[in-house]
Amino acid sequence: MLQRVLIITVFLIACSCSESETEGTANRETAQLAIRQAETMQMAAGQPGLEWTSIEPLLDAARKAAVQGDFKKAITLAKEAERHAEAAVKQAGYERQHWQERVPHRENK
Amino acid sequence: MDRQHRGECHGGNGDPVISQLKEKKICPPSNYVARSFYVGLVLLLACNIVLADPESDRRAFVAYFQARFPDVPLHEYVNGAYAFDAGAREQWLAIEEFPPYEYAIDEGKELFNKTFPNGNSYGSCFSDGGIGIRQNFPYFDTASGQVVTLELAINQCREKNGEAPLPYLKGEMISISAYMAYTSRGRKINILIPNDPRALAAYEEGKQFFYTRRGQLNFSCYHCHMEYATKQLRAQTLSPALGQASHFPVYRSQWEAMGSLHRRYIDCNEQTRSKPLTQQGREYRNLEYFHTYMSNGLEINGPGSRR
Ligand code: HEC
Repeated sequence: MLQRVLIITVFLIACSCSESETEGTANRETAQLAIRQAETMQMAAGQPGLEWTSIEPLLDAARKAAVQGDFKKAITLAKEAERHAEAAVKQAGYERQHWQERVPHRENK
Repeated sequence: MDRQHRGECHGGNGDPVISQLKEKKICPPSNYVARSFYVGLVLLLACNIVLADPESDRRAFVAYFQARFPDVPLHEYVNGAYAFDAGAREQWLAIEEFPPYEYAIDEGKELFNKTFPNGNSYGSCFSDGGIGIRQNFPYFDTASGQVVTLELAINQCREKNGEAPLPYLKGEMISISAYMAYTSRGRKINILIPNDPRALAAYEEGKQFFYTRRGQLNFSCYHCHMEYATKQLRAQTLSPALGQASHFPVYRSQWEAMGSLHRRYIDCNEQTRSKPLTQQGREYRNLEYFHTYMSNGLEINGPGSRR
């Protein structure tokens, strides 16, 4: 029981810390930085046929939020866009190595 | 395994490894050089780099489906999901009694036979006057070094005769290709891969496209149309990739219109949240080349209708 309370307390403290941290750093500059980082990653993920359609809407929404002064939202969305772009880059790299494994071969049947 | 153009090698008769290599059209250098060559080759194979050729790819592709669905005859694959879903098949057959693509065939026939201002017509650009030739498309054009789909050939014909190219998405282009498919019903798909490294490269690019996961949902064509073939996705039965290219252009109820194979590619890419490519661009033409080659020997039954 005591252990559980401890875990929950630590968890709550951690949450409130990270929360206040983002709030503390969310301004025009950091929002624009986050958007630029996401854009850079999107460019890396921009090979024809390997781009994800989820990235651009997130980035658009991030830019819009930044214009409207909602920097916290802008950063959250830009970070999400960056995460998608990063996953797209990883996917493309992984697939270049592994696509062949799916090709059926008679010999392996 | 049958290979179309088997090269001849000399020496090493009786050696099983050498005869295997010969079968793969690789002539190993003789004696001790050969030994290091084998080591390299074994390493290559161990790394799962497979030296395949299109014909053995196709046989394995067909065998994959036949092993999974032993009760479905090969000729049924051109009917897509309707070969596997009795309820949907019944509805489809009812609709086919009033073919929703009929207007396109009629319009296509008229356009096809009309003469350009210079006196030529579409028939002048194709073998057999353009009648009953759908099964040969797409083909690899050794002059330009690229894959030519029927739609591309139609526009090349127009440009050759001083006409502006047609848009690919809808309208006259689709009607002309619908008519040309109609005159080819019952002909067996016969895609050729000439002995030209560029043709093989185009085929390989299409093959890689087909098996590569893409988009946020991380699916490849393979996953939906091979691994999950005949399973349900959003109340639709997933058709097997084999036979998929036989009936285009298609009337799709969801589009409320006719569309080309590339329009379908766009839809399927979007479903996985992968940014689609342009119709008749290199990537989709190469995909079509591989995709259609896999259905060699099956009958053209276009234009078709689907939900
Ligand atoms: C997320 C699953 C999914 C993926 C991935 C997918 N498709 Fe599809 N595809 C569908 C669904 C659903 C349909 C409609 C039902 C059917 O006929 O299979 C369809 C239909 C088709 C059809 C029409 C079949 C017919 O009988 O008219 C073709 C052709 C096709 N897909 C090709 C492809 C190709 C090529 C790829 C890879 C670029 C691909 N699909 C990737 C889900 C998928």
